[in-house]
Amino acid sequence: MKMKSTHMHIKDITRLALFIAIALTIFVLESQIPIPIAIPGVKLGLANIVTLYLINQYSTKEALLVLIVRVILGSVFAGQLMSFAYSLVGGLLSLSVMALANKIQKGENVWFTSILGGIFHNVGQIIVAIIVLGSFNVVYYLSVLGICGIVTGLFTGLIVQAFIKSMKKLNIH
Amino acid sequence: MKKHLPIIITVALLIVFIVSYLVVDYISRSNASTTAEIYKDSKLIRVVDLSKEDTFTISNDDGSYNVIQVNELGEIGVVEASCSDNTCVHTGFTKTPSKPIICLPNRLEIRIVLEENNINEDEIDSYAY
Repeated sequence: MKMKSTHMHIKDITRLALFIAIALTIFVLESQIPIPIAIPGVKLGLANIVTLYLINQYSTKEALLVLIVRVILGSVFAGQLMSFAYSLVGGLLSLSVMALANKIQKGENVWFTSILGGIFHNVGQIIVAIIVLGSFNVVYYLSVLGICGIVTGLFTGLIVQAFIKSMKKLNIH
Repeated sequence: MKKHLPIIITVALLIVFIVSYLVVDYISRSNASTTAEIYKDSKLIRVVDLSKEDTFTISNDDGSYNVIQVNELGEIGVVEASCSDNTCVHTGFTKTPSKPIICLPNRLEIRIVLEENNINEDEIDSYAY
């Protein structure tokens, strides 16, 4: 008889809740960082740390769940309605690209996956900006945000790699 | 070679982004044929070409004055003024029509007039949040 588990382990639920809280905290804090771009609501994308860690160490499904809940709660806590669309599209695009890259690289080169995620997180934000502002000229920012995405992607990627290492040392997985 | 593929791709992307930024910046700069109009008592008294760096003073009979400057970025601003609040100075530099510079005490207004063919990176007039 095939036993299909329709319940989540308490361990999984706790872990997801924990990561939602972490991602939310990062998100709210990074909202305070001023971005030198004239588009309101644009974010650096540091919360990708959580997304990437979940993709790499657990599953894309969990990453997706945490992302959606975090974006919803984040727009409530951080207050800006605009940033909801930016976070959602940016986060989803980044998640998809990172999941794909992670699969292709078989979980290696986390920093590179993160860079791709960083770039596409910002690409997603620009797409939303074009739709919201109705101005195609925002494409001008693609180059600036592209470079920014590479830098923050590298930064978050290195953090994730360090995090993976220390978690392995503690034998928590 | 395959092992270094991620680094190669990253560097390539970096170069692409930097180059595209320089290209767009150069294009928008050479298209910047904007002028500014200076109004005193709502009358146009001077038209300023923003493609040339310049500093000049608008002064009145009663001794009040505004020192106006065009910087190398094609922006215009008031750097010094005789008015007591200096709001015009604090406004900083501008090069878009959505941000005019006004000195109420001296009844001075600086307005940007745009020609077409400009890459308008700042289309937003105000934020409401």
